Amino acid sequence: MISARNVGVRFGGQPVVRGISLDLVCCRTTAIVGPSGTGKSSFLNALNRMTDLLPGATVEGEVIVGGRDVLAGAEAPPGLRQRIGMIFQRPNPFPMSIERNVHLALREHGERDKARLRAITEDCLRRVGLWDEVADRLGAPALQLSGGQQQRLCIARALALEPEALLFDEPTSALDPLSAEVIETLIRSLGQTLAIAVVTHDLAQARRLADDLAVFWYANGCGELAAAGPIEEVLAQPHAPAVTHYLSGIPRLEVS
Amino acid sequence: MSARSLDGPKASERLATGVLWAVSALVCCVLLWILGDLVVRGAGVLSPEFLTEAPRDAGRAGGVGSLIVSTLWIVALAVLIALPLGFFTAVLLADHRASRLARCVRGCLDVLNAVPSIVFGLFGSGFFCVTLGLGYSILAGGLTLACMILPILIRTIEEALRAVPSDLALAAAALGVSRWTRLWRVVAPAALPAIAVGVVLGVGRALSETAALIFTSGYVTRYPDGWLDSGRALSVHIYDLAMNIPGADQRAYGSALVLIALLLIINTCVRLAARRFSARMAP
Repeated sequence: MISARNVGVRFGGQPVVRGISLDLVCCRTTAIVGPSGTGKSSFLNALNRMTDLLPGATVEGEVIVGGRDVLAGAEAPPGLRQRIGMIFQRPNPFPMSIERNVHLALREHGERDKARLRAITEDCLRRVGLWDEVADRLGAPALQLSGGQQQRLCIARALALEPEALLFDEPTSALDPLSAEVIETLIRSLGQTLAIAVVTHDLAQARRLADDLAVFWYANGCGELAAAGPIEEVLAQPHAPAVTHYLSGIPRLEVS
Repeated sequence: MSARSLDGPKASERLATGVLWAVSALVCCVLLWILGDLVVRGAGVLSPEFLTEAPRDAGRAGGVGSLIVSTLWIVALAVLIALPLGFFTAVLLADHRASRLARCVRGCLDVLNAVPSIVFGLFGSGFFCVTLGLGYSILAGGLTLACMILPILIRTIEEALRAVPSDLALAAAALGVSRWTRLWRVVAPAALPAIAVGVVLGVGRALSETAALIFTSGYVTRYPDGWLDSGRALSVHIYDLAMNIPGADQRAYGSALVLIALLLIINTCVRLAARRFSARMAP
Protein backbone atom coordinates (compact mmCIF):
# COMPACT_ATOMS: atom_id res chain seq x y z
CA MET A 1 0.00 0.00 0.00
CA ILE A 2 1.21 3.48 -0.91
CA SER A 3 0.04 6.42 1.16
CA ALA A 4 0.67 9.91 -0.15
CA ARG A 5 0.37 12.54 2.58
CA ASN A 6 0.19 16.17 1.53
CA VAL A 7 2.50 15.56 -1.43
CA GLY A 8 3.54 18.45 -3.63
CA VAL A 9 5.98 18.81 -6.50
CA ARG A 10 7.82 21.96 -7.52
CA PHE A 11 9.83 22.61 -10.63
CA GLY A 12 12.49 25.27 -10.12
CA GLY A 13 10.68 26.39 -6.96
CA GLN A 14 7.37 26.83 -8.81
CA PRO A 15 4.68 24.48 -7.46
CA VAL A 16 2.91 22.42 -10.13
CA VAL A 17 0.88 20.32 -7.73
CA ARG A 18 0.43 20.39 -3.96
CA GLY A 19 -1.44 19.01 -1.01
CA ILE A 20 -2.23 15.63 -2.52
CA SER A 21 -3.27 12.96 -0.02
CA LEU A 22 -4.18 9.73 -1.71
CA ASP A 23 -3.98 6.02 -0.86
CA LEU A 24 -3.21 3.36 -3.43
CA VAL A 25 -4.21 0.01 -2.00
CA CYS A 26 -3.74 -3.53 -3.14
CA CYS A 27 -6.18 -4.94 -5.63
CA ARG A 28 -7.74 -1.59 -6.41
CA THR A 29 -7.17 0.54 -9.47
CA THR A 30 -7.16 4.31 -9.08
CA ALA A 31 -7.73 6.46 -12.14
CA ILE A 32 -6.16 9.91 -11.90
CA VAL A 33 -7.95 12.38 -14.18
CA GLY A 34 -7.97 16.12 -14.69
CA PRO A 35 -7.01 18.76 -17.23
CA SER A 36 -3.47 19.06 -18.56
CA GLY A 37 -1.01 20.92 -16.34
CA THR A 38 -2.54 19.89 -13.03
CA GLY A 39 0.48 17.81 -12.04
CA LYS A 40 -0.95 14.30 -12.43
CA SER A 41 2.25 12.89 -13.94
CA SER A 42 4.46 14.86 -11.55
CA PHE A 43 2.56 13.38 -8.62
CA LEU A 44 2.91 9.88 -10.07
CA ASN A 45 6.65 10.43 -10.52
CA ALA A 46 6.98 11.49 -6.89
CA LEU A 47 5.61 8.15 -5.65
CA ASN A 48 8.66 6.12 -6.71
CA ARG A 49 11.05 9.05 -6.61
CA MET A 50 11.43 9.28 -10.38
CA THR A 51 11.32 12.99 -9.62
CA ASP A 52 14.98 12.60 -8.57
CA LEU A 53 15.79 12.38 -12.27
CA LEU A 54 13.71 15.31 -13.42
CA PRO A 55 15.87 18.45 -13.55
CA GLY A 56 14.75 21.09 -11.08
CA ALA A 57 12.09 18.95 -9.43
CA THR A 58 11.66 18.95 -5.65
CA VAL A 59 9.07 17.01 -3.68
CA GLU A 60 7.43 17.83 -0.36
CA GLY A 61 5.15 15.85 1.91
CA GLU A 62 5.34 12.16 2.76
CA VAL A 63 5.00 9.00 0.71
CA ILE A 64 4.52 6.06 3.04
CA VAL A 65 5.36 2.66 1.56
CA GLY A 66 5.35 -0.33 3.90
CA GLY A 67 4.98 1.97 6.90
CA ARG A 68 7.99 4.14 6.13
CA ASP A 69 8.39 7.52 4.46
CA VAL A 70 10.32 6.90 1.25
CA LEU A 71 10.71 10.61 0.51
CA ALA A 72 12.71 10.89 3.72
CA GLY A 73 15.06 8.26 2.30
CA ALA A 74 13.63 5.19 4.07
CA GLU A 75 14.42 3.13 0.99
CA ALA A 76 17.00 3.64 -1.75
CA PRO A 77 15.44 4.42 -5.17
CA PRO A 78 16.47 1.14 -6.86
CA GLY A 79 14.64 -0.98 -4.28
CA LEU A 80 11.71 1.43 -4.19
CA ARG A 81 11.30 1.38 -7.97
CA GLN A 82 11.48 -2.41 -7.95
CA ARG A 83 8.48 -2.39 -5.57
CA ILE A 84 6.64 0.39 -7.41
CA GLY A 85 6.93 -0.04 -11.16
CA MET A 86 6.15 2.58 -13.76
CA ILE A 87 4.84 2.36 -17.32
CA PHE A 88 5.19 5.37 -19.59
CA GLN A 89 3.03 6.94 -22.27
CA ARG A 90 5.25 5.93 -25.15
CA PRO A 91 6.42 2.32 -25.21
CA ASN A 92 10.14 2.45 -24.50
CA PRO A 93 11.73 -0.98 -24.86
CA PHE A 94 15.51 -0.97 -24.76
CA PRO A 95 17.23 -1.38 -28.14
CA MET A 96 18.19 -4.98 -27.40
CA SER A 97 16.58 -8.40 -27.66
CA ILE A 98 13.13 -9.10 -26.22
CA GLU A 99 14.66 -11.45 -23.69
CA ARG A 100 17.37 -9.02 -22.61
CA ASN A 101 14.73 -6.37 -22.03
CA VAL A 102 13.34 -8.55 -19.26
CA HIS A 103 16.74 -9.72 -17.99
CA LEU A 104 18.42 -6.33 -17.66
CA ALA A 105 16.71 -5.21 -14.46
CA LEU A 106 16.51 -8.76 -13.06
CA ARG A 107 20.28 -9.13 -13.32
CA GLU A 108 20.70 -5.71 -11.78
CA HIS A 109 18.66 -6.85 -8.79
CA GLY A 110 20.85 -9.90 -8.36
CA GLU A 111 19.18 -12.70 -10.35
CA ARG A 112 21.98 -14.50 -12.22
CA ASP A 113 20.71 -18.05 -12.51
CA LYS A 114 20.03 -18.78 -16.19
CA ALA A 115 17.21 -21.24 -15.59
CA ARG A 116 15.50 -18.86 -13.15
CA LEU A 117 15.86 -15.99 -15.63
CA ARG A 118 14.26 -18.10 -18.35
CA ALA A 119 11.42 -19.15 -16.09
CA ILE A 120 10.70 -15.60 -14.94
CA THR A 121 10.83 -14.35 -18.53
CA GLU A 122 8.31 -16.93 -19.68
CA ASP A 123 6.07 -16.29 -16.69
CA CYS A 124 5.89 -12.53 -17.06
CA LEU A 125 5.55 -12.69 -20.85
CA ARG A 126 2.64 -15.07 -20.34
CA ARG A 127 1.05 -12.69 -17.85
CA VAL A 128 0.99 -9.92 -20.47
CA GLY A 129 -0.17 -12.33 -23.18
CA LEU A 130 2.99 -11.90 -25.22
CA TRP A 131 4.51 -15.34 -24.79
CA ASP A 132 2.68 -17.07 -27.63
CA GLU A 133 3.52 -14.20 -29.96
CA VAL A 134 7.26 -14.09 -29.25
CA ALA A 135 8.23 -17.50 -27.79
CA ASP A 136 10.06 -18.46 -30.99
CA ARG A 137 11.99 -15.19 -31.29
CA LEU A 138 13.08 -14.14 -27.82
CA GLY A 139 16.44 -13.16 -29.27
CA ALA A 140 14.90 -10.77 -31.82
CA PRO A 141 15.24 -7.00 -31.32
CA ALA A 142 12.42 -5.65 -29.16
CA LEU A 143 12.03 -2.71 -31.52
CA GLN A 144 10.71 -5.10 -34.17
CA LEU A 145 7.55 -5.54 -32.12
CA SER A 146 4.43 -3.48 -32.81
CA GLY A 147 3.62 -0.53 -30.53
CA GLY A 148 1.10 -2.49 -28.49
CA GLN A 149 3.45 -5.45 -28.14
CA GLN A 150 6.25 -3.10 -27.07
CA GLN A 151 4.03 -1.63 -24.37
CA ARG A 152 3.15 -5.13 -23.13
CA LEU A 153 6.86 -5.97 -23.06
CA CYS A 154 7.44 -2.86 -20.93
CA ILE A 155 4.74 -4.07 -18.54
CA ALA A 156 6.27 -7.57 -18.54
CA ARG A 157 9.72 -6.35 -17.59
CA ALA A 158 8.20 -4.36 -14.72
CA LEU A 159 6.23 -7.44 -13.60
CA ALA A 160 9.40 -9.51 -13.64
CA LEU A 161 10.55 -7.57 -10.57
CA GLU A 162 7.42 -8.66 -8.66
CA PRO A 163 6.22 -5.15 -7.81
CA GLU A 164 3.52 -4.36 -5.25
CA ALA A 165 2.20 -1.48 -7.28
CA LEU A 166 2.28 -0.28 -10.89
CA LEU A 167 1.97 3.34 -11.95
CA PHE A 168 0.69 3.89 -15.49
CA ASP A 169 1.22 7.31 -17.05
CA GLU A 170 -1.28 7.51 -19.94
CA PRO A 171 -0.37 3.96 -20.99
CA THR A 172 -2.55 3.80 -24.11
CA SER A 173 -2.51 7.32 -25.51
CA ALA A 174 0.30 6.52 -27.97
CA LEU A 175 -1.36 3.32 -29.19
CA ASP A 176 -3.97 2.43 -31.79
CA PRO A 177 -7.46 1.57 -30.42
CA LEU A 178 -7.05 -2.20 -30.75
CA SER A 179 -3.70 -2.26 -28.95
CA ALA A 180 -5.15 0.10 -26.34
CA GLU A 181 -7.97 -2.33 -25.69
CA VAL A 182 -5.50 -5.17 -25.12
CA ILE A 183 -3.53 -3.04 -22.66
CA GLU A 184 -6.73 -2.06 -20.83
CA THR A 185 -7.78 -5.68 -20.46
CA LEU A 186 -4.30 -6.41 -19.15
CA ILE A 187 -4.44 -3.59 -16.60
CA ARG A 188 -7.81 -4.89 -15.40
CA SER A 189 -6.41 -8.36 -14.84
CA LEU A 190 -3.30 -7.01 -13.09
CA GLY A 191 -5.61 -4.98 -10.88
CA GLN A 192 -6.79 -8.23 -9.29
CA THR A 193 -3.46 -8.62 -7.50
CA LEU A 194 -1.69 -5.24 -7.51
CA ALA A 195 -2.24 -1.67 -6.42
CA ILE A 196 -2.56 0.31 -9.63
CA ALA A 197 -2.70 3.98 -10.51
CA VAL A 198 -3.53 5.10 -14.04
CA VAL A 199 -3.19 8.68 -15.21
CA THR A 200 -5.51 9.10 -18.17
CA HIS A 201 -7.19 11.76 -20.28
CA ASP A 202 -9.65 9.21 -21.59
CA LEU A 203 -12.63 9.47 -19.25
CA ALA A 204 -14.32 6.41 -20.75
CA GLN A 205 -11.15 4.52 -20.01
CA ALA A 206 -11.21 5.78 -16.43
CA ARG A 207 -14.72 4.40 -16.14
CA ARG A 208 -13.67 1.03 -17.56
CA LEU A 209 -10.59 0.64 -15.35
CA ALA A 210 -11.16 2.42 -12.09
CA ASP A 211 -12.38 1.31 -8.72
CA ASP A 212 -11.32 4.67 -7.31
CA LEU A 213 -11.18 8.05 -8.94
CA ALA A 214 -8.92 11.01 -8.13
CA VAL A 215 -9.72 14.31 -9.81
CA PHE A 216 -6.90 16.85 -10.09
CA TRP A 217 -7.96 20.42 -10.69
CA TYR A 218 -6.21 23.71 -11.24
CA ALA A 219 -6.66 25.94 -8.18
CA ASN A 220 -4.67 28.77 -6.62
CA GLY A 221 -2.04 28.66 -9.35
CA CYS A 222 -1.29 24.95 -9.33
CA GLY A 223 -2.77 21.47 -9.34
CA GLU A 224 -4.75 20.28 -6.33
CA LEU A 225 -6.94 17.32 -5.50
CA ALA A 226 -10.57 18.26 -6.18
CA ALA A 227 -12.07 14.93 -5.18
CA ALA A 228 -11.03 11.35 -4.48
CA GLY A 229 -12.71 8.10 -3.51
CA PRO A 230 -14.64 5.18 -4.97
CA ILE A 231 -15.67 6.23 -8.45
CA GLU A 232 -19.45 6.09 -7.87
CA GLU A 233 -19.17 8.18 -4.72
CA VAL A 234 -17.02 10.79 -6.42
CA LEU A 235 -19.44 11.05 -9.32
CA ALA A 236 -22.39 11.39 -6.95
CA GLN A 237 -20.79 14.20 -4.92
CA PRO A 238 -21.51 17.84 -5.68
CA HIS A 239 -18.59 19.66 -7.36
CA ALA A 240 -17.75 23.10 -8.68
CA PRO A 241 -19.58 23.65 -11.99
CA ALA A 242 -16.44 23.29 -14.11
CA VAL A 243 -15.55 20.00 -12.43
CA THR A 244 -19.08 18.72 -12.81
CA HIS A 245 -18.97 19.60 -16.49
CA TYR A 246 -15.61 17.81 -16.87
CA LEU A 247 -16.79 14.71 -15.04
CA SER A 248 -19.92 14.54 -17.19
CA GLY A 249 -17.55 13.13 -19.79
CA ILE A 250 -17.40 9.92 -17.77
CA PRO A 251 -20.01 7.53 -19.12
CA ARG A 252 -22.76 6.28 -16.81
CA LEU A 253 -22.31 2.83 -15.37
CA GLU A 254 -23.51 0.34 -17.93
CA VAL A 255 -26.41 -1.72 -16.69
CA SER A 256 -26.25 -5.14 -18.20
CA MET B 1 -2.42 16.70 -58.89
CA SER B 2 -1.94 20.41 -59.26
CA ALA B 3 -1.81 22.14 -62.63
CA ARG B 4 1.71 23.29 -61.97
CA SER B 5 3.18 19.83 -61.53
CA LEU B 6 1.47 18.78 -64.74
CA ASP B 7 3.23 21.61 -66.54
CA GLY B 8 6.55 20.51 -65.10
CA PRO B 9 8.79 22.66 -62.94
CA LYS B 10 9.32 26.30 -63.80
CA ALA B 11 12.51 27.42 -65.49
CA SER B 12 13.81 29.04 -62.30
CA GLU B 13 13.38 25.76 -60.40
CA ARG B 14 15.12 23.84 -63.15
CA LEU B 15 17.98 26.32 -62.93
CA ALA B 16 18.23 25.88 -59.16
CA THR B 17 18.27 22.11 -59.52
CA GLY B 18 20.94 22.39 -62.19
CA VAL B 19 23.14 24.58 -60.02
CA LEU B 20 22.83 22.18 -57.08
CA TRP B 21 23.79 19.24 -59.26
CA ALA B 22 26.69 21.11 -60.78
CA VAL B 23 28.09 22.11 -57.39
CA SER B 24 27.77 18.57 -56.03
CA ALA B 25 29.42 17.16 -59.12
CA LEU B 26 32.24 19.67 -58.79
CA VAL B 27 32.92 18.56 -55.21
CA CYS B 28 33.00 14.91 -56.28
CA CYS B 29 35.29 15.82 -59.17
CA VAL B 30 37.83 17.40 -56.83
CA LEU B 31 37.97 14.23 -54.77
CA LEU B 32 38.18 12.00 -57.85
CA TRP B 33 40.87 14.22 -59.35
CA ILE B 34 43.04 13.96 -56.23
CA LEU B 35 42.55 10.20 -56.02
CA GLY B 36 43.14 9.80 -59.76
CA ASP B 37 46.30 11.85 -59.57
CA LEU B 38 47.58 9.67 -56.73
CA VAL B 39 46.81 6.47 -58.60
CA VAL B 40 48.33 7.63 -61.90
CA ARG B 41 51.53 8.85 -60.31
CA GLY B 42 51.92 6.39 -57.45
CA ALA B 43 50.42 3.06 -58.48
CA GLY B 44 53.61 2.19 -60.37
CA VAL B 45 55.61 1.68 -57.18
CA LEU B 46 53.06 -0.54 -55.48
CA SER B 47 54.22 -4.12 -55.03
CA PRO B 48 54.26 -6.69 -52.24
CA GLU B 49 57.82 -5.61 -51.42
CA PHE B 50 56.76 -1.96 -51.21
CA LEU B 51 54.19 -2.90 -48.57
CA THR B 52 56.56 -5.03 -46.48
CA GLU B 53 60.08 -3.64 -46.75
CA ALA B 54 61.58 -0.77 -44.80
CA PRO B 55 62.72 2.26 -46.86
CA ARG B 56 66.26 2.24 -48.21
CA ASP B 57 68.45 5.06 -49.53
CA ALA B 58 66.41 7.69 -47.62
CA GLY B 59 63.22 6.41 -49.23
CA ARG B 60 64.33 6.32 -52.85
CA ALA B 61 64.24 2.52 -52.69
CA GLY B 62 62.68 -0.15 -50.50
CA GLY B 63 59.10 0.18 -49.24
CA VAL B 64 56.91 1.51 -46.46
CA GLY B 65 56.26 -1.68 -44.44
CA SER B 66 57.97 -0.40 -41.29
CA LEU B 67 56.09 2.89 -41.60
CA ILE B 68 52.72 1.16 -41.83
CA VAL B 69 53.57 -0.67 -38.61
CA SER B 70 54.67 2.53 -36.86
CA THR B 71 51.59 4.40 -38.09
CA LEU B 72 49.20 1.72 -36.86
CA TRP B 73 50.97 1.64 -33.49
CA ILE B 74 50.75 5.41 -33.09
CA VAL B 75 47.12 5.67 -34.15
CA ALA B 76 46.06 2.67 -32.05
CA LEU B 77 47.75 4.13 -28.98
CA ALA B 78 46.18 7.54 -29.59
CA VAL B 79 42.69 6.08 -29.88
CA LEU B 80 43.12 3.70 -26.93
CA ILE B 81 44.27 6.58 -24.73
CA ALA B 82 41.81 9.20 -25.97
CA LEU B 83 38.67 7.04 -26.17
CA PRO B 84 38.18 6.26 -22.46
CA LEU B 85 39.09 9.82 -21.44
CA GLY B 86 36.85 11.24 -24.12
CA PHE B 87 33.97 8.92 -23.31
CA PHE B 88 33.81 9.76 -19.63
CA THR B 89 34.26 13.47 -20.24
CA ALA B 90 31.43 13.29 -22.76
CA VAL B 91 29.24 11.47 -20.23
CA LEU B 92 29.85 14.26 -17.74
CA LEU B 93 29.10 16.94 -20.33
CA ALA B 94 25.94 15.20 -21.52
CA ASP B 95 24.70 14.75 -17.94
CA HIS B 96 25.37 18.31 -16.84
CA ARG B 97 24.76 19.97 -20.16
CA ALA B 98 23.76 23.36 -18.80
CA SER B 99 26.12 23.63 -15.83
CA ARG B 100 28.84 26.27 -15.68
CA LEU B 101 31.50 23.54 -15.56
CA ALA B 102 30.16 21.96 -18.76
CA ARG B 103 30.05 25.29 -20.57
CA CYS B 104 33.61 26.01 -19.46
CA VAL B 105 34.86 22.57 -20.56
CA ARG B 106 33.09 22.91 -23.89
CA GLY B 107 34.65 26.31 -24.49
CA CYS B 108 38.12 24.92 -23.72
CA LEU B 109 37.54 22.03 -26.11
CA ASP B 110 36.52 24.34 -28.93
CA VAL B 111 39.71 26.34 -28.47
CA LEU B 112 41.76 23.16 -28.23
CA ASN B 113 40.16 21.89 -31.43
CA ALA B 114 41.29 25.00 -33.27
CA VAL B 115 44.91 24.83 -32.04
CA PRO B 116 47.27 24.15 -34.97
CA SER B 117 48.82 20.71 -34.83
CA ILE B 118 52.35 22.09 -34.85
CA VAL B 119 51.56 23.54 -31.41
CA PHE B 120 50.57 20.09 -30.19
CA GLY B 121 53.85 18.85 -31.66
CA LEU B 122 55.85 21.40 -29.70
CA PHE B 123 53.93 20.65 -26.52
CA GLY B 124 54.33 16.90 -27.04
CA SER B 125 58.04 17.07 -27.64
CA GLY B 126 58.51 19.39 -24.66
CA PHE B 127 56.30 17.50 -22.23
CA PHE B 128 56.19 13.84 -23.26
CA CYS B 129 59.62 13.53 -24.88
CA VAL B 130 61.68 15.74 -22.56
CA THR B 131 59.86 16.27 -19.26
CA LEU B 132 58.49 12.73 -19.02
CA GLY B 133 61.67 11.38 -20.61
CA LEU B 134 59.93 9.29 -23.27
CA GLY B 135 62.28 10.59 -25.96
CA TYR B 136 61.37 10.23 -29.61
CA SER B 137 59.00 7.30 -29.27
CA ILE B 138 55.80 5.85 -30.58
CA LEU B 139 54.30 6.29 -27.11
CA ALA B 140 55.12 10.01 -27.10
CA GLY B 141 53.59 10.32 -30.57
CA GLY B 142 50.49 8.42 -29.51
CA LEU B 143 50.04 10.58 -26.42
CA THR B 144 50.43 13.77 -28.44
CA LEU B 145 47.90 12.60 -30.99
CA ALA B 146 45.57 11.55 -28.17
CA CYS B 147 45.59 15.15 -26.89
CA MET B 148 44.93 16.35 -30.39
CA ILE B 149 41.95 14.12 -31.16
CA LEU B 150 40.38 14.43 -27.69
CA PRO B 151 38.29 17.52 -28.51
CA ILE B 152 36.72 16.02 -31.62
CA LEU B 153 36.09 12.70 -29.85
CA ILE B 154 34.49 14.36 -26.85
CA ARG B 155 32.21 16.59 -28.89
CA THR B 156 31.02 13.78 -31.17
CA ILE B 157 30.51 11.34 -28.29
CA GLU B 158 28.62 13.98 -26.32
CA GLU B 159 26.32 14.57 -29.29
CA ALA B 160 25.91 10.80 -29.67
CA LEU B 161 24.90 10.37 -26.03
CA ARG B 162 22.52 13.32 -26.14
CA ALA B 163 20.83 11.93 -29.23
CA VAL B 164 19.75 8.83 -27.28
CA PRO B 165 16.11 9.40 -26.26
CA SER B 166 15.87 10.23 -22.55
CA ASP B 167 12.94 7.77 -22.46
CA LEU B 168 15.40 4.92 -22.39
CA ALA B 169 17.35 6.13 -19.38
CA LEU B 170 14.09 6.95 -17.57
CA ALA B 171 12.64 3.52 -18.37
CA ALA B 172 15.75 1.86 -16.98
CA ALA B 173 15.68 4.06 -13.88
CA ALA B 174 12.02 3.17 -13.33
CA LEU B 175 13.10 -0.49 -13.18
CA GLY B 176 15.52 0.36 -10.39
CA VAL B 177 18.56 0.09 -12.65
CA SER B 178 21.61 1.95 -11.33
CA ARG B 179 23.14 4.92 -13.10
CA TRP B 180 26.22 2.94 -14.08
CA THR B 181 24.21 0.11 -15.65
CA ARG B 182 21.95 2.63 -17.40
CA LEU B 183 24.99 4.23 -18.97
CA TRP B 184 26.80 1.02 -19.75
CA ARG B 185 24.01 -1.28 -20.86
CA VAL B 186 21.38 1.09 -22.25
CA VAL B 187 22.62 4.51 -23.27
CA ALA B 188 26.13 3.70 -24.53
CA PRO B 189 25.03 0.78 -26.76
CA ALA B 190 22.27 2.93 -28.24
CA ALA B 191 24.83 5.65 -28.96
CA LEU B 192 27.45 3.27 -30.34
CA PRO B 193 26.96 3.86 -34.08
CA ALA B 194 27.30 7.61 -33.58
CA ILE B 195 30.29 7.08 -31.29
CA ALA B 196 31.88 5.04 -34.08
CA VAL B 197 31.56 8.06 -36.35
CA GLY B 198 33.51 10.07 -33.78
CA VAL B 199 36.23 7.42 -33.69
CA VAL B 200 36.41 7.45 -37.49
CA LEU B 201 36.85 11.22 -37.46
CA GLY B 202 39.52 10.93 -34.78
CA VAL B 203 41.38 8.19 -36.64
CA GLY B 204 41.24 10.24 -39.81
CA ARG B 205 42.79 13.21 -38.07
CA ALA B 206 45.43 11.06 -36.39
CA LEU B 207 46.39 9.24 -39.58
CA SER B 208 46.84 12.42 -41.53
CA GLU B 209 48.93 14.14 -38.88
CA THR B 210 52.47 15.19 -39.72
CA ALA B 211 53.43 18.25 -37.72
CA ALA B 212 52.56 16.79 -34.33
CA LEU B 213 54.56 13.64 -35.02
CA ILE B 214 57.83 14.93 -36.46
CA PHE B 215 58.93 16.16 -33.03
CA THR B 216 57.46 13.31 -30.99
CA SER B 217 57.56 9.91 -32.67
CA GLY B 218 60.58 10.83 -34.75
CA TYR B 219 61.62 9.86 -38.25
CA VAL B 220 63.58 6.66 -37.94
CA THR B 221 62.52 4.47 -40.85
CA ARG B 222 63.30 0.97 -39.56
CA TYR B 223 60.72 -1.38 -38.05
CA PRO B 224 60.09 -0.20 -34.47
CA ASP B 225 61.19 -2.49 -31.62
CA GLY B 226 58.27 -1.56 -29.46
CA TRP B 227 56.24 1.38 -28.31
CA LEU B 228 59.20 3.09 -26.66
CA ASP B 229 61.17 2.97 -29.90
CA SER B 230 61.09 5.75 -32.41
CA GLY B 231 59.05 5.20 -35.56
CA ARG B 232 58.19 7.27 -38.61
CA ALA B 233 54.54 7.70 -39.52
CA LEU B 234 53.43 7.46 -43.15
CA SER B 235 52.39 11.09 -43.33
CA VAL B 236 55.80 12.19 -42.01
CA HIS B 237 57.37 9.97 -44.66
CA ILE B 238 55.33 11.56 -47.43
CA TYR B 239 56.32 15.00 -46.23
CA ASP B 240 59.99 13.99 -46.11
CA LEU B 241 59.97 12.39 -49.57
CA ALA B 242 58.16 15.30 -51.16
CA MET B 243 60.17 18.09 -49.54
CA ASN B 244 63.63 16.76 -48.77
CA ILE B 245 64.50 13.83 -51.01
CA PRO B 246 65.10 14.58 -54.68
CA GLY B 247 64.02 11.80 -57.00
CA ALA B 248 61.49 10.20 -54.65
CA ASP B 249 58.33 11.84 -55.96
CA GLN B 250 56.80 8.65 -57.26
CA ARG B 251 57.39 6.95 -53.93
CA ALA B 252 55.75 9.88 -52.15
CA TYR B 253 52.65 9.33 -54.28
CA GLY B 254 52.79 5.58 -53.65
CA SER B 255 53.02 6.19 -49.90
CA ALA B 256 50.07 8.57 -50.06
CA LEU B 257 48.07 5.90 -51.84
CA VAL B 258 48.90 3.43 -49.06
CA LEU B 259 47.86 6.01 -46.45
CA ILE B 260 44.49 6.58 -48.13
CA ALA B 261 43.93 2.84 -48.42
CA LEU B 262 44.74 2.45 -44.72
CA LEU B 263 42.23 5.17 -43.86
CA LEU B 264 39.51 3.55 -45.95
CA ILE B 265 40.17 0.12 -44.47
CA ILE B 266 40.07 1.36 -40.86
CA ASN B 267 36.95 3.45 -41.45
CA THR B 268 35.15 0.58 -43.12
CA CYS B 269 36.06 -1.82 -40.31
CA VAL B 270 34.87 0.55 -37.56
CA ARG B 271 31.61 1.28 -39.36
CA LEU B 272 30.93 -2.37 -40.15
CA ALA B 273 31.59 -3.38 -36.54
CA ALA B 274 29.24 -0.67 -35.27
CA ARG B 275 26.57 -1.60 -37.78
CA ARG B 276 26.77 -5.29 -36.95
CA PHE B 277 26.49 -4.45 -33.29
CA SER B 278 23.49 -2.17 -33.72
CA ALA B 279 21.79 -4.61 -36.08
CA ARG B 280 21.51 -6.93 -33.10
CA MET B 281 19.92 -4.09 -31.14
CA ALA B 282 17.41 -2.66 -33.54
CA PRO B 283 15.76 -3.87 -36.73
